[in-house]
Amino acid sequence: MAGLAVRRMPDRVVVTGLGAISPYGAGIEALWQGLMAGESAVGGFTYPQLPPLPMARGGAVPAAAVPSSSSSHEPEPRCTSFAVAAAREAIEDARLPAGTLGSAWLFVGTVMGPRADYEETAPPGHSVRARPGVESLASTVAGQVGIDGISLVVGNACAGGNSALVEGAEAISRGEADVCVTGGAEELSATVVTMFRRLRSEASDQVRPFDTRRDGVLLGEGAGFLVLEALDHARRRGATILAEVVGWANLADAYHVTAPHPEGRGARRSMSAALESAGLGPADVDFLCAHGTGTPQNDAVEGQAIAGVFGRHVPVVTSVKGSIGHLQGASSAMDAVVCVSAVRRGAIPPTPTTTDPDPACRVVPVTQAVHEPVGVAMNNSFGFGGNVACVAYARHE
Amino acid sequence: MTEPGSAAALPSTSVAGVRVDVGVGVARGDLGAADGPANGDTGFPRQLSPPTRPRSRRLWNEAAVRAGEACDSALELMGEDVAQGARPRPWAIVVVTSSAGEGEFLRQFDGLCDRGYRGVRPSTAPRSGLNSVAAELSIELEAVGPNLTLSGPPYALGHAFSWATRHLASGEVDVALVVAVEEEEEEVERVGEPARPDRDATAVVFSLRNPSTVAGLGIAWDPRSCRLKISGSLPGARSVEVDLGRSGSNETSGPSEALGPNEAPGSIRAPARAVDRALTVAVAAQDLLPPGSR
Repeated sequence: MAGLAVRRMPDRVVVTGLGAISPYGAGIEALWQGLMAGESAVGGFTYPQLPPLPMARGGAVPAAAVPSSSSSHEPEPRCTSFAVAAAREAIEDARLPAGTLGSAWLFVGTVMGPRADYEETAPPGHSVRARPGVESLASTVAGQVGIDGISLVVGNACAGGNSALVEGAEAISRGEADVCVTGGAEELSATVVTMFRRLRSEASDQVRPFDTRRDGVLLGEGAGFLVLEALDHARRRGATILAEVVGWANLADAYHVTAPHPEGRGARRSMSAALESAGLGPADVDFLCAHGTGTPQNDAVEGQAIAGVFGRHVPVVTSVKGSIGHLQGASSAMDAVVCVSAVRRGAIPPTPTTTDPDPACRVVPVTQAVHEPVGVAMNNSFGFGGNVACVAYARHE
Repeated sequence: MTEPGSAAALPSTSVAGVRVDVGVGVARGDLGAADGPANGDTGFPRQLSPPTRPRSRRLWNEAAVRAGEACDSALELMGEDVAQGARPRPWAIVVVTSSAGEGEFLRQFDGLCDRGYRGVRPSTAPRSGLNSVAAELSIELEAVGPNLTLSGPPYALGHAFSWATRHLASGEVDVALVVAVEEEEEEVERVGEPARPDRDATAVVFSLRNPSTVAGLGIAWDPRSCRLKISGSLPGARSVEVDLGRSGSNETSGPSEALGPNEAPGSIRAPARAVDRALTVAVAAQDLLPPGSR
């Protein structure tokens, strides 16, 4: 797992800050310690405003960790509060000099964004429609943290966090921005939880990625954010470089609204394209953070795609969805935080809920934390509608 | 860098223009208006063609239906037959929207409130996502190239054009679709039923392709000034700048004609939405295309 010579892009992109609000609580340390300990943060929760809905299980952000609204006028949607708090942590972690954010860009991935907040405010039987639009997720974060550049929501379903990161990395690579704040945010939605139940894709008790007993997802909520910088910009200000973003791909499976292509067409192409853009081969990758939802279909297709792309060089694989649930639009942003942390700390968190790996998946996730250097980490993400995105990170030498 | 939406003139030295073939399609629920005169408030300009092939609404949400119709028109104008050609296609799709799938989400939530979990329909619920339009189009066309859904101020449209032309210029894709679409609520009266709110959508689709003829248009986007510049291909052709910034400035630059959000042939209504600015861009593009290619 040595450091690698990677292909140099026009402007190299590095990560200098991380932030997270997760089902473990507020902050990167809470997320990392929880994941490394193999503790599941998934439990039962209720929707008091929706009596007909039975109790659900999922990864809810603990009440004590829910940030207070930054608006003095009315409560913010939960996902917006999560995003503001996680972006602030990432910016503080990056120790950006005053004034830097004035020209920074912002990209935020989400599935529902503030749409899910309708449920918080609507009495049963009467939808409330006059709520902030989806785009307010980005504009509120930008306003709260002082970003004056381009700020956009990236709605690429459960690949939204990765796709947002790709947009930020490309803006820096093209020289259009020196600093991009990117991430993803999502809040639990009764409608979305119910949709998975009705699709018979809700796990009965736990999420078991790549396990013979896997039977579905449990949703989660939170936000993960990263500060991306042009390498030269980071060097000039003496920033601590956590990892380098070396390759990426953002494509379409173009097959079905809810099902992956049976041969994993999009999954394979996104991993291969990310490797190619990084100038890396399968043997160069040490850690793959899998999408690993725990549904029978996803894990079988993803596992076979991983085996197809990496052959005999399958890296250490983990899925954090067994620990924190599926954070939808925030999922791949949180996984990006995990990948960068793995590169930075030389450790890989386990998939503790997988006890009987399914041979049909051709991938065996690690069930105990791994402590060894990580030269290159890759992050898979796939969404309803066929959005597929993969990002590769390398240790910066 | 200056703030997006600032009144700075387009700094031509900082903009890498790309010349592309362009097709334009527009679709909206009240299709009659598309055929009628440009009446200023509700009608589209006469020169924007109504959809050529109305689609089934059975499985698509409102935004995807209209985007699909406009997409057909745009591709047809450019000479692409969506029914033919090799599949999967190396095509890119970028959609700018803030409301796609919202109507479906609200219907699902109403069903949940009224009938519990049985009120959520598993067959249609996945179409409540913001990415539903980009997803449906990619599946329909089997477009396996880059795929992106954006929400934000009108300058999201400029970012979308930049994204699309970049993928074309790199040779990564053959065709790129730039889609602006919004769902809108309106009162609908049906025979025997009281008026009730319903949803329809407005969609503007630009199909872009590396130029095969001299009919291509030049497209340049400057994220600093938030201006999209479109230039004709013929000698002495005009160029038009459309302000996609937050401020709505109409400052002109060089020999270009500047179109602000409220200035377009046919007088498009223009709250600060990307789809409305897209109509302005569509009209400008149509005016700049040589007569034979409109």
